[in-house]
Amino acid sequence: MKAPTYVKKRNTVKHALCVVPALMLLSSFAVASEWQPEASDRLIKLPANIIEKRVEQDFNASPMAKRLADLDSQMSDKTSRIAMLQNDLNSVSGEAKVNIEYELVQQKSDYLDLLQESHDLRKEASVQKQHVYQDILQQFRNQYGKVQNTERLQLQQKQQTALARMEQVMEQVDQNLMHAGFSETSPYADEYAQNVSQITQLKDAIARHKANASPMLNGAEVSSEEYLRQLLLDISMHQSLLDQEGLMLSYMARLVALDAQELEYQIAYGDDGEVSTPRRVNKASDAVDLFTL
Amino acid sequence: MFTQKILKSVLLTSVLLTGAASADSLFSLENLERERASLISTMSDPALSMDERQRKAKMIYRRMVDIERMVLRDERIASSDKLIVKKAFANYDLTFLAHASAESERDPYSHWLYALNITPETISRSNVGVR
Repeated sequence: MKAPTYVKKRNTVKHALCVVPALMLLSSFAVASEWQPEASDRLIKLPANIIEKRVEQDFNASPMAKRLADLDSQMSDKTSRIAMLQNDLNSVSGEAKVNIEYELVQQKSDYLDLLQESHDLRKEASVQKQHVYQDILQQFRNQYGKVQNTERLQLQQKQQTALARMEQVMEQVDQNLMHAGFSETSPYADEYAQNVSQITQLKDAIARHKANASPMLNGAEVSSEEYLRQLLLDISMHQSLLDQEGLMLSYMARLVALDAQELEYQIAYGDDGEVSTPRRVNKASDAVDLFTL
Repeated sequence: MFTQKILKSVLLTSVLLTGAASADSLFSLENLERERASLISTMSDPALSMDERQRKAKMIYRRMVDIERMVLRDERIASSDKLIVKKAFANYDLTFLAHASAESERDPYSHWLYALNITPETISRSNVGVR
């Protein structure tokens, strides 16, 4: 491979120096990688643990997830290449070393571009998930609040109270009917007694059914609201880690910029180890012999 | 795809059944009102003989017992926001007359009069006039 000229290298290094501001702009140029989920009515009706699975399924099928997978693959290639170049760096010297250093800076810069885009996409996905779960939680609370506050609940409570009151005198009423000459129970009473145990069995079967099971957290059953709150907490933690990753990314970009700057100085002024000797100038004392002999 | 079709079909059937059951629940409440009105009418009908009144009242009482139990055991009835439901649960003693009268150890008609505070004293204090 023909070594690039110093002029060409300088241009590339200048390009590498622009890495830091370029990283900040990349996210705005990311296209065809969108994911915009919405908390539809159908989604809200699902059990909380299924909602999570549905959201993840939707995300995995989105252009954003596909782009992330693509970026991940490209980053793996880049890291392998960078590791290889770093190994080669120890076994070469001179211009070949400069060439490897130049490529190393370029590969690192490319890797950071990919990492920045991946970071932005993961952050965006996290925000989208947060919005979806917040919407669901809000709608869930609205529905639950309506049930709690409406006259319907009061009616249900009144009915339960009335039923409990009625059950206390049912035996007495049956005796009254016997005294009134009704020795046989009514068709309703007969059917009801037969059906009531079967209804209980059916209700138990529904309660035990897997599709009707409450979501589980750490092996314990929790309410849908609690499960959704846990999902939001997980997202919040994930976002916090992404912020940390963003800081790491900025430091890495700064290091690449410093590497590039160092390389530029090296190309322009030589290695740090080479101390330039001052040019010798003619002095009068050096020429005295010429005149005295 | 096939599973979704079955699911849709089952859900639709479930919705239809629920709707029908809800209408039936209110129907039983309306029946209860009719039986109660019939009991009051029978007990206060001066044209009926004592035996005839007792015979009719017994039949009505038996029907009322069944319907009152139907209404109170039906969990879906309280899901309705109709006025008939609100009024029914507003006064247990008047709505569930057969059971409430057994609780107070009175016959249903006497309990109805008692719940409305219609006593010989209040009747004697009352005046006939135009409202």
